[in-house]
Amino acid sequence: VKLRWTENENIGGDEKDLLGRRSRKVLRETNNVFLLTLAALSFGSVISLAALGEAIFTVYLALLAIVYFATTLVFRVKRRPSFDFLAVVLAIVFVWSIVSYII
Amino acid sequence: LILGRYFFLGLGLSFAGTTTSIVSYFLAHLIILTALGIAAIMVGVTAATLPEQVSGSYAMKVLLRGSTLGIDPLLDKILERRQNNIERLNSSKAANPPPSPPSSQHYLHDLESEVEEERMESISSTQENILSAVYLPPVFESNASRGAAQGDQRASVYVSLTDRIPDTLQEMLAAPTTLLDENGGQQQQEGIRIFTPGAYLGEVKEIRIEDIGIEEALQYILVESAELCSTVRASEIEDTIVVEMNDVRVQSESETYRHLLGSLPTSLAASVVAVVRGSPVIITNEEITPTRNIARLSILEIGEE
Repeated sequence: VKLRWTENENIGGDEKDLLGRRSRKVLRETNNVFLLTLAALSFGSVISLAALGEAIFTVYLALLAIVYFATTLVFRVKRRPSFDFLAVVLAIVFVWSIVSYII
Repeated sequence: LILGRYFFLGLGLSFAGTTTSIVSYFLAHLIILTALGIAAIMVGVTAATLPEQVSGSYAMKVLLRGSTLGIDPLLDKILERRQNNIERLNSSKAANPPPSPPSSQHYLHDLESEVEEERMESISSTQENILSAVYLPPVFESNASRGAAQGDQRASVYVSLTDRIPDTLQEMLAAPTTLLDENGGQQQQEGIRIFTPGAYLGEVKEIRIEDIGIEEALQYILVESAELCSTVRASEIEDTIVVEMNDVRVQSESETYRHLLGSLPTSLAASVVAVVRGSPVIITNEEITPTRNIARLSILEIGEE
């Protein structure tokens, strides 16, 4: 039973899909989806806060930290080096921003 | 440090973000632009630290090659014995053609088994080599207590030494794990049970969840754990499962291994399907291209007893 390509193209959906084969290939990789999600959420949150007229800098920092932690927690991608120093920096910034805002 | 695909992109984004943040905060006093710069730094640093696309690391290639090395001599002998047996069988058939069965015997066959036989014959004629191997599921205590078979939590592969496959799982599980001596007086050995790198997949709890999908299990083993390919997709049509593995760069198995058991990623995929489904699986077709492997697996509907 010789398997033909045309049979397999239907595995992932219709060939005439709007996204196209290349886009689907990009989106199948977890790393790509992770990066796209992180970029969309972080830039989106800054723009949303700006649109709402937020002027306190610590609010931006806190939201960015939350976005980062939430995204890394959901996707759990491998990093090289494995130690996530950005998470440490953001955690410090988050704590500092909250503390300084309260004080 | 091995640079990832997005290293320079990330570096550039981080640099641009840092410049924007500093200029915006200290000179322009714009909070929004500063925050955007920090967001750019965050995305840039993350992109720079992402590793190269997960696919066939050298360490995994070496480990898997080593794991198949031990059974290569046995596989060579199996292949030789199998070819001898089939040649002997063909020559005896040519010398003594079997008599046509009496008409009454037709009534003894039920329709279902006849259809199954025809299906097996049609598959055998096209992919005889890989069809000689049947990937057997592990038999857990729950099944063993019902008398299905003796509890053996290892997934194994039954390799037929003749041109037929036993009718029951029990027969295949009872096959010897070594090649017996060919003595004239002894009964001919029908098959052998061997253990591949996927033998202990039954112990992986992540793929033994009750309602786990085939694709999910394959993704966990082949992509996330073994890093044999970048992505895997599975499509199921009745008893046939088409598995597509992309960016398989690890061709670490020997020629004999590939000939008898399929390529290593496909062999592992068949073991995963056997474990998830709890049924014997055969590889009916495999197509290997530089960018992807496509394998067609069939779940065998055979009796346990």
